[in-house]
Amino acid sequence: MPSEPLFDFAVPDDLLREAVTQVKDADVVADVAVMPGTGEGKPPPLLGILKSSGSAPLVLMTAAALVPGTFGNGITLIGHNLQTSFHMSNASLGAVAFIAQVSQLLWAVPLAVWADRGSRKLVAGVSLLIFSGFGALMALSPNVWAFAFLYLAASVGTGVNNTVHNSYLSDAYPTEGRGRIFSWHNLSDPLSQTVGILIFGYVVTIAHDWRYGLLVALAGIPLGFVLFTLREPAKGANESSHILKASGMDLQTQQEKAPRVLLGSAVTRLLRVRSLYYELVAVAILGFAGTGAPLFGNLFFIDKFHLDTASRSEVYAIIGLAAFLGLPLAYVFGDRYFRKAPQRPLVIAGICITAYGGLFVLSLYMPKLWMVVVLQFLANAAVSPLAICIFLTLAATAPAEMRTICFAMFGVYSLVFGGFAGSVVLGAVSDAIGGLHGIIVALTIIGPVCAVGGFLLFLGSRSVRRDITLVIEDVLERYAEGKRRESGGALPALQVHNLDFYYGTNQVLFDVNLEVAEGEMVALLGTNGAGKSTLLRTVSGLEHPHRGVIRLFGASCTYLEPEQIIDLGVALLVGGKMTFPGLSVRDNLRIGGHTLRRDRARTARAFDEALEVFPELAARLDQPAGTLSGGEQQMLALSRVMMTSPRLLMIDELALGLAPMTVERLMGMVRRINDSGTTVILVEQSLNRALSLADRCFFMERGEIRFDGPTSELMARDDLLRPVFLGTASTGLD
Amino acid sequence: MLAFSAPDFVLVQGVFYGLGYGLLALGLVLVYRTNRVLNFAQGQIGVIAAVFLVKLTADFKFNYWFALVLSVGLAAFVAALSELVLRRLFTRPRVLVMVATIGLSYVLLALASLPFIRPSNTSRPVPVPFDLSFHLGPFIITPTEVLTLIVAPIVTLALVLAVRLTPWGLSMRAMSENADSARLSGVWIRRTSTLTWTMAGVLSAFTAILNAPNQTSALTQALSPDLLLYALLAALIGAMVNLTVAFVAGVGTGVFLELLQWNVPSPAKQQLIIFIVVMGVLLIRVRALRLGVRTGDKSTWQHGAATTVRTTADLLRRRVSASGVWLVVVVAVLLPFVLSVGNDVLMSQICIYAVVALSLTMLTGWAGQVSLGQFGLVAVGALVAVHLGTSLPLPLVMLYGGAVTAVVAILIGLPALRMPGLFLAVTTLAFAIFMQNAVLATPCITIPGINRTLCTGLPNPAYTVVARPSLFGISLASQRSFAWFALGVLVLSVFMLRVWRDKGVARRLVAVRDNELGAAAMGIPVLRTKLLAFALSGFVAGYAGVCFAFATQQLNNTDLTFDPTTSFVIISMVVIGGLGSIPGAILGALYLEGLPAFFGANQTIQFITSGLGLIAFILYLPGGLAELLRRLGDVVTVGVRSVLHRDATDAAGPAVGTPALAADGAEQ
Repeated sequence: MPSEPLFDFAVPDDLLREAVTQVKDADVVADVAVMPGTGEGKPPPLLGILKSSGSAPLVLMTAAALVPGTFGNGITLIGHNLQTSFHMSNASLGAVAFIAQVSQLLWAVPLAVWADRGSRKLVAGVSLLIFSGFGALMALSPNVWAFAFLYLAASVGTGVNNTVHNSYLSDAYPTEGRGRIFSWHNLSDPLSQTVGILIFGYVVTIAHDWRYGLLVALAGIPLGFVLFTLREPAKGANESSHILKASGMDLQTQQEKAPRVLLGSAVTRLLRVRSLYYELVAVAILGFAGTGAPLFGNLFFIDKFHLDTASRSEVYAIIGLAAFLGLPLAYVFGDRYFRKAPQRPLVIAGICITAYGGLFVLSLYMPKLWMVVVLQFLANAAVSPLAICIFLTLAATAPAEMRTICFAMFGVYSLVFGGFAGSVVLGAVSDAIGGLHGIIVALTIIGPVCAVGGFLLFLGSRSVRRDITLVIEDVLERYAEGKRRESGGALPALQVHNLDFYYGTNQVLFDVNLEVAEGEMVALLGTNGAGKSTLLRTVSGLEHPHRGVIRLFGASCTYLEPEQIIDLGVALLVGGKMTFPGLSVRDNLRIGGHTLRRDRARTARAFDEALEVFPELAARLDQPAGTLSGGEQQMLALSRVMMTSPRLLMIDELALGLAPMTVERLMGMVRRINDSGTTVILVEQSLNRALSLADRCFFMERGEIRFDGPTSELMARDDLLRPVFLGTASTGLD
Repeated sequence: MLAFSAPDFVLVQGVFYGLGYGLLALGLVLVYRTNRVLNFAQGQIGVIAAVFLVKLTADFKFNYWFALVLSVGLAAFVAALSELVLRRLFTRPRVLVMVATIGLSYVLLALASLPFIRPSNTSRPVPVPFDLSFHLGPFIITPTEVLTLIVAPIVTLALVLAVRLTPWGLSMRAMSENADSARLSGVWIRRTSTLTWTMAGVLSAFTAILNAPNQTSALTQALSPDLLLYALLAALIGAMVNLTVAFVAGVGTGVFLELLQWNVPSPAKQQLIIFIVVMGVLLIRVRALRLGVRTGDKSTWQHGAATTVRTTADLLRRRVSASGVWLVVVVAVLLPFVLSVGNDVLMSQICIYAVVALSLTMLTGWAGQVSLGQFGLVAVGALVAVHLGTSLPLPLVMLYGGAVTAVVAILIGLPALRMPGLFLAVTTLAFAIFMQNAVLATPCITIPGINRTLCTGLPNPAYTVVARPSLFGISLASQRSFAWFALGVLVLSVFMLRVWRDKGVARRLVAVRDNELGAAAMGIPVLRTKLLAFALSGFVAGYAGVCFAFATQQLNNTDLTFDPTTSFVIISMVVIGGLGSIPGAILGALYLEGLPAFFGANQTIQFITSGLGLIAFILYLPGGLAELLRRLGDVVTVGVRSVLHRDATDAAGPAVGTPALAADGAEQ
């Protein structure tokens, strides 16, 4: 079960603002030369790339996409036969098709997560085998129920084409040839619609039984096994070698391994990719056209030109051929444009879709059938490079270790938002007006919708270089960390690098960098609103940064959830906000030991220890925590976070609203905790208390770290403290 | 009322129904505890299971137990899926989430009728695994009832134990109190929430499967307003926290209702008693509930809708808004000239619905009180119009109707004075049901004791004609002139609300909503402010009701006009338009009333405007249509400014004092 809502976006405010003000991206953008896939002159020839990286991955992946594609198209071909065999109504047939579409989507996401965690060739192979097995079994289905169920299982095969395959190919071949590789792979789509469907139809006609056509799926079995023999390329290796080479680093350093990808974290990180955000909104709009155009185009041909089924399929076969014209265009120009300026493919994509909309709408008003066909042919030719252009951008802007999920999100948005809403809205409009006129008006909507989508892609293109810069920063940061590990030395308990954080559009943290060694006790000082609490919330996972890296005990955990961070041995205590007032003290402590619940002995031990340290709690075990005094509640909070014996304890305002005596006692506890080896970060308002507790401190102001060093030195820095504490600092503010 | 009697079989019957209410209440409490959401879809999830169970056993001849597992599993899956979709709303104002669940229940209703779930024969009863029945006096206790009497308590006990003893129960209780803190201790709150909804789904499945045999068709709207009322009442008696109390209260409600029906033959009197009892129970329980409700409850129920008073210092932006308003008014005034008669009627209707939505904007958007029965108040106004008719000048009738309704609104609001949002929801719901089934349905009642007859209801409940009056000598009989009249009422109402908003009434309401103690400390009389909210809202709804009666010209209590579900539509309008926004209320009315009418009987549009459309709207445009309008205004302002700026620079060289949003980038 995904732990983050997948469909997580609202119409962005900044999108409109940018559209209106046309302010160029203000972020610092890396030099184009550092960006993978760019360079002087023409991109290297594909043959050379294939020679050096092998042609097997491309050929096999294309074949692996072709088989399920042919199968799916074949089923639409035999729809009528299915209806007679299973006594299905039109609605039931539609429902079966709908189920297949949805299940494709349901498969795509978990498979993408699996692929990003492990081997993509394995996922591709296994899903192809599953497809083949269930697909072939569909030939034997006795009733529609079994047919639909098997179809649901078999659609696993189509769910990986544009996700796992693309991700695999991105790493299997150098960045310079990606556009051409994607073009070849994408050729499977028009191929399955033409050659594939011919073969399928031929088999069905020869055998006089639709069931034999489904045996096409069996071709996937040998193919699936061959996929296993492929080499699994390292994720992002092409990019990092390019970046490191371009920045003059050596490639020998053993790089830190990327953290295990979780769906929730990946979605959070990917939505930080600004161009992807635009692409997703655009693709949601485009799915609208993609679903609506064929659905109502069919009706258009029936009503206006009175074409029967056979002629319609001929017309669509002709229009479908346009992809053979469009893909070569992407093949020739995709890499070339990307090489010069990485944002350009997205601009091209915007132009493509706008042109499609225009040509398509124009075709609706043509008097003669041949004119309609020619214009729609051109429209289809114009739109077919679109996917390649967007794939190129996606592959470049998404971090390598979550690329598959990125491709999967793309599919989800296009189908769920666009496809679904598209058919509903167009249907509503055409029904409301009625007749041929209604259909034409409905289809005309596609024109402006495509123009909006094109404009969004254009807007997104302006963030592409910034997004690639973020990827480059990630690579370089990881490299630096690898270097540092090589040189030996203890791993710090907490590392924060280049952290930026926004609440909405309000930036709160600015390029925060800090390190805390294991076993240390440091104070984090600053006024209200300096960003101290936000920093701790970000480290504990309650918030996710917009830029930068967080490492805990050497493990990268920037986008982990708090529920996972606690397992790394990190605890956050927020003063005055920790207790559950309606739960009993006992239940509060039980929640503290929540992660230990499988280890009963340890839970019991931790429970006893907590009561030993604060005996007053023992007397009130069954009282609601809300009835305790402020000091007791803080004791309860402290003993609660100590249940798991954390290695890093972060305390946000321990003394908040407490009497000095109580504070002394709690501080004594914290000192003891630190003495036992736990690293402690203490947010403090009082300089004196910080001085008495921590040797080292950080001073934050307006979201920046302004001082990092011995606490005694900070006391002497009147330039920092005077504006903040009005000069009372040196006289001992408490 | 004669002698009171309580035969055994009536009691058993009551317990049987009561178990259903109890199970429903359990589901409501469970979800409310975890997410602070009043889940309108709680009943509908289970209907899918019941329908699917019939399909599996009747159409596919599956074994009963196997089919049961499958269909309960389906309900659990649907519930979990619903949670995943609605999850991102859980930090938003609760009213928003509540309306989203209304949308969800429509979607689920549609889902249950999909060919893969719906049985070929929908009127087939839900099967029962055994054939065990008793004779109790002259009556038979059916196998279904026996099953319910066995299963419901077991399910409840299991659930209560699970909440008390398991880690999941503890996590659930912890996350509802302090989500961040729970997460920091490693409680996966999202998983806990999904699991809770799954449990609620299972519960709902049992409710529907046990209760379904009473219904003629399996495909029903599961949570009808009165069922919702009883379940909510039981849940509230359990303070929305205590599962055991809620369940027992549900059983009690069932017994009470059966006894009532047995002893009191007149449905109108039954409704009156029910209404009085609901109000009474809530008043008595107020103290206990106040202690029981968690500290954070109030703020989470109401928080977030603070965009009521938004002023901008930007003169140009204000001018853009003002021009927009004038443009709309001019277009609206000219509109009746070009509209057909049917569309004139529609226009009057939309205007009046917009006024009703405005009354709710004040109450829910500004004062943070949820009313599930706003149309009950409209009915009061309509009755005033029926009885006064043309005997008084129209403005006086409207004022009188408004005043009467304001008094009624204050009376209904009394129990809610000391309680947060949900409580008014229950009393208003009870009131709306009472209005439809008792007041409207009874032409005259004789007050016992003094023997006076009081004629407050519709003279002919099935069909009462209302003659249209004239306004200052101008006849409103034609649909076109009435459309202008309705538009005038709307414009006046907007003007009035704007004055209230700008003169600080709204500010006071929001202050009391957000922090009662703080507001009191600043010298705002809390009690009076709350009463003011009810009174103003009632006043507006009341004169809208007068207009409503004159607009429709014929009233009855049987069709959907005054059905409580109409009130749900009104609250959806307010949310879709943008909580607390004046233009939002009008846009919401236009969207929910105008769009379906424009597209006629188009099912797809109805599907969009109800159900899925509602959810999608709330998910992706939480600020409502008003938010869209605001952004549009911003865009226009920036456009106008850049044109002006360019003109200025062309005319007088570089301008002094660059505007905040310069178009400098445009040239690059």
